[in-house]
Amino acid sequence: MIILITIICSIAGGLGTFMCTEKLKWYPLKSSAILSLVIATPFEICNFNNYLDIPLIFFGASFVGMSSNDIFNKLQITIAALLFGFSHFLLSSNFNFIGGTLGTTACLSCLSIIVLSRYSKEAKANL
Amino acid sequence: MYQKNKINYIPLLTLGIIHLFFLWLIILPLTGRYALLGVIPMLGYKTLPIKFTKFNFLELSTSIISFGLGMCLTIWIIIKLETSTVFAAALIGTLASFIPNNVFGLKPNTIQKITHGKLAIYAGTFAGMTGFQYFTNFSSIIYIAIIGGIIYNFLQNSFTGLGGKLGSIGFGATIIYISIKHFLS
Repeated sequence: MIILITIICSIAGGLGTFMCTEKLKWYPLKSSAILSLVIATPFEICNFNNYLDIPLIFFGASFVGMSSNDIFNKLQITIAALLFGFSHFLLSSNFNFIGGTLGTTACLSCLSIIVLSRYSKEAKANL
Repeated sequence: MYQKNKINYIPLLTLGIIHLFFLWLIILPLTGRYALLGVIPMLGYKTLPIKFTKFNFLELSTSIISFGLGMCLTIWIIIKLETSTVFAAALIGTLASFIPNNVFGLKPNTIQKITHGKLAIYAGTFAGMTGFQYFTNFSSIIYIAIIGGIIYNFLQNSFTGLGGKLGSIGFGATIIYISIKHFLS
């Protein structure tokens, strides 16, 4: 169940932010902040104690979606967001309440996809 | 494509050091030697635009003030309204995103400065999400704001379009402050 929630939230956060920037022509800052606020508000009003990770994962994945469409396409954003969700699942126990850990995880996920796509292109070219 | 000279390595080193701190303090204790795999994404730096920002006192002051403002407002909302860190950061980010930056008559340079100010506020909110055990007094907030503003100033024209850059700045400011404090005590 936790893994399923992580997958859904990370894809929704990453792709949702990216689509808002691309389709609605919002600034990435606006897309990330507004979507995260919309998701976080119900958790402030109601007591969903078992699902407190949802806004956190969504917020972190929205940083992946803040990437430029000059560098990433939708598929790459989806994979980067999934990688973020997987990393968050593994590492969140050691985040120690230090600010920016979500963003750094998102940044490393995006960089991983850049490296992966670059070397897969080079490998294809060598075939 | 991008002019490579000695000075362009400053933004590269800044982001690299922040990510190495992350690997060392967050990933290494959990994964052991597998944390070395975290160095691979850093190979992606060279595919992104890296430009050094010339020193400009006004720009640096704007970055520090904006970063500090984002941080202070986030902490204030968490304490006063007793909200979650995500809600506080998203609220400040949303409010900052509505600051108009393309008002008629403004010079493009001014518009760019406003945009950078808004982004520095958002980066500051991430530092504001830090647990209160790390903020021993108000001066710690000021030190983190200064470090964050300087890092933002170094990276503002580099790695554009890379998601998570602002979060890395927030993390860098906090972790550098904590490390210096730990080292000095």
